[in-house]
Amino acid sequence: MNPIDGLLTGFATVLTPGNLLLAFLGCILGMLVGILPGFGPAAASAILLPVTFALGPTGAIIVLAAILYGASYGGTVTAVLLNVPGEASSVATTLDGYQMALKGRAGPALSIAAMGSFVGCIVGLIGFVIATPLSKFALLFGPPELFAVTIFGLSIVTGLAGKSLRKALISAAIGLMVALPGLDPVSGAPRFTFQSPELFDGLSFVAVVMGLFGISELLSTIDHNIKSGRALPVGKILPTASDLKRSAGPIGRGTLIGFAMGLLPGSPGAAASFLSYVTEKRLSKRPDEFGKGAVEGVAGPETTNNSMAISGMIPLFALGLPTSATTAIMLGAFTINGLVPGPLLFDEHPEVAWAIIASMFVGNVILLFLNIPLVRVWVLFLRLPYPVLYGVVLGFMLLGAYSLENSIFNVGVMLAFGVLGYLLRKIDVPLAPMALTIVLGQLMERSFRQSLAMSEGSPTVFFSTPLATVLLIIALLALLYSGIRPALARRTRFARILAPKSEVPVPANISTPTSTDRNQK
Amino acid sequence: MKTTRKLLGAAMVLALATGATACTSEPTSTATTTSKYPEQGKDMTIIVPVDAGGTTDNVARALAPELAKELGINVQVLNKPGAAQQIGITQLAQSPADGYTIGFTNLPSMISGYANPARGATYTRESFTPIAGVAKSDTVVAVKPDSGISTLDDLISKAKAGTTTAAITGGALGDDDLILRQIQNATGTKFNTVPFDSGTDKMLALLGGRVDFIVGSIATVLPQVQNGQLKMVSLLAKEKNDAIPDVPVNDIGVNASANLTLSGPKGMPADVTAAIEKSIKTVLDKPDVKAAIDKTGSQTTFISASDTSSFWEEGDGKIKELISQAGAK
Repeated sequence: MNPIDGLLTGFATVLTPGNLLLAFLGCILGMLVGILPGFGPAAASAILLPVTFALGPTGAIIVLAAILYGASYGGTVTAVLLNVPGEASSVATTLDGYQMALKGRAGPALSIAAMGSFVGCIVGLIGFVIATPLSKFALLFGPPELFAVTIFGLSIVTGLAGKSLRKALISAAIGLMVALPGLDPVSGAPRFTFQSPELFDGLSFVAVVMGLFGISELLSTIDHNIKSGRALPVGKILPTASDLKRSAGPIGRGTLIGFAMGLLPGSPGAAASFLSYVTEKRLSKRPDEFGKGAVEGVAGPETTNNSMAISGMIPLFALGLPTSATTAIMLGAFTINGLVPGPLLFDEHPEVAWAIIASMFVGNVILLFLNIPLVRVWVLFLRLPYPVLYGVVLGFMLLGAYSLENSIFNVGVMLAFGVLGYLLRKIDVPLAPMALTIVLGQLMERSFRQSLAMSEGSPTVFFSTPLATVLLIIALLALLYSGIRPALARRTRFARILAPKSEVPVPANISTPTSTDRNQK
Repeated sequence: MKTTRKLLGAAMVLALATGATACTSEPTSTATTTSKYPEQGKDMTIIVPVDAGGTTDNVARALAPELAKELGINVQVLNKPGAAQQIGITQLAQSPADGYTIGFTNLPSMISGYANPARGATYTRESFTPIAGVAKSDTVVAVKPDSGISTLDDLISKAKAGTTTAAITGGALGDDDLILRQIQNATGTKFNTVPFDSGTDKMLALLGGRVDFIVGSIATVLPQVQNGQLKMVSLLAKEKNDAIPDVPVNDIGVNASANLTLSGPKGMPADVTAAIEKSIKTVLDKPDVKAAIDKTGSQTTFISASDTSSFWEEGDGKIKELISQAGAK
């Protein structure tokens, strides 16, 4: 069955009242899951798994998939309005999204995010339809290639620096330390686990991020002398034409970045939204606006985490291999219904496969139409007094941290990192580099040790495939560039200060400033 | 200072929050008198020490509603993943032995958890009361179809001629590693191993041609085999498996068959254990339960408490010997 026929049959199956209702419910649940900090699609899918037994394979996967991509729509809300990321992938959105909200531009931020999310998902779905060759892409990334990707990821750290490079590097170093506890990947010996089996798998990334960004935000707010009510001005809801124009590029690039990263095994995906953020910052003509409310800093990452959610399902459908906790649950749903995802699914049960894919298109349309008007509702929340709002958010965060592994330990981790994050904020150490290196640290060491295990200790393994070699060279160049860049910027500023003022008088009839004037101090 | 007072307030709230959530945490081991088992209105919890969506979880969810009907009480599945099942199993060991908390102590995979001193497990074989085995899970050797390896002998010859690499989950002295050691001991070969985090990752490594072979449960590799992407070359069990009649039983005497086993904490009253065991047997006889479990790739098999106990003891000895051979400190 060729893709077009397949899709048409799929739409026919989905556009029935029963399946439409399921898709709609899944989308609502997904958004809810995204908004509730810490409570992720994996936890929700696990809870709903028994319910999905009664739905049959098509219905079950429609709901589970809708929860997955719906969550990436919902995670933006708390990130923008409260500076508390709803999902691990929303951390990058907090960097500029919250700043936009502080300036009364929460509405445009949320709207642009919804639009970008929609584009990211739809383009991701188109890629899904031509899935099979893409699944081979995932197979190209073995341990040496992934190691090169993590080195490249390290070069992004300077892009997240903000004012002080030194503090960003301190933050990155702390992140690498946080990635240390766990079992040694090769020998299995416990390392920094303090005799506690809860640390054998390392610190839970979501718990750490919830604490570092979410709890520390709550603690910082208490610090500022705001008694009640909100200081956030509520401005326009819809984005301006300039916003839309500026977001077009980031959305386009974000889609590609998210799509590619979602296909990779080993989940470097959490770093994808950071990659998008830094890419936009480096390509922007107004890099100084980043960190102060640049709309590109919201459009890019939000699109990325959506297209990543979609492409994350491709290895499951094309190869039968689940690359994340939520897709593992989807595999369980397939198995229980006697279906085997992979090429066989498209051959033997095309109606199921295409119905699911069609449902994702429909689900995203539903979400777009839900989200744009809902921006008004979210912005209304800004009128709630701080104590009430933050009390509720804290409650959900505690619940969310517990739900990660049904364990109190993660609640403790979240709170401890909350205090750490609060202290770091007080001394102006940026938190984003730390989040990035925590993700990269574990993957970096693991892929490094795996590569050396593959070659029995020979370092030539990192150049064993053309892809690995190319990636490593790009990574090293990126690292070099990011190291030199701040120094270069300092030199040009220094040179401009020293340069003598222009002797030519400015003619009276020229009123608009030229670009050189704007850059002069 | 106002800030200090606010911070103090915040600290108190955080402390209260932690305290409150901690109070709702793991049940403590208090003895309860069992009048008649099962008591109406009480709930049974089945602890599954892995995440939702895996084989054990699927089996647990197939069993739970039927067991609930059989026992007449609510049965719920609790996922408690982490540390290669150690977290969930620790919680099981610390639960009250009243028959309302049972859990999966899959054999022999959970044995290395306590037999390996480096893992610092707080339980041993004596910490549990075996109730019943519910399914068998056989292990196979899998390779890519174009690898030129068609039998286990091919693999062994290749290993003797040069380096052969396997992708394993669990690191040194984990499940896969212990199975490989048994093969190595039986044939005098040595394999190179590359550790991965999950079954999916190790299959990706094999599919991507990074390693030569893997050992894994039939449940793990079956989807890939059905999709034509992997080939099973040898069954690491004592007898043929009807689900995969074309795969030969290995001739080097390695038996890595696993049982999905339900146990309770130690000290369960004998009549309670017997009651649960009987209910499980009844449930496993039902055709739709059998079908549901078989779909996960394991084979529904009822194994009595005493047979489970012997299997456990045998596995215990074998694994402890392998670990001491490996020279674990």
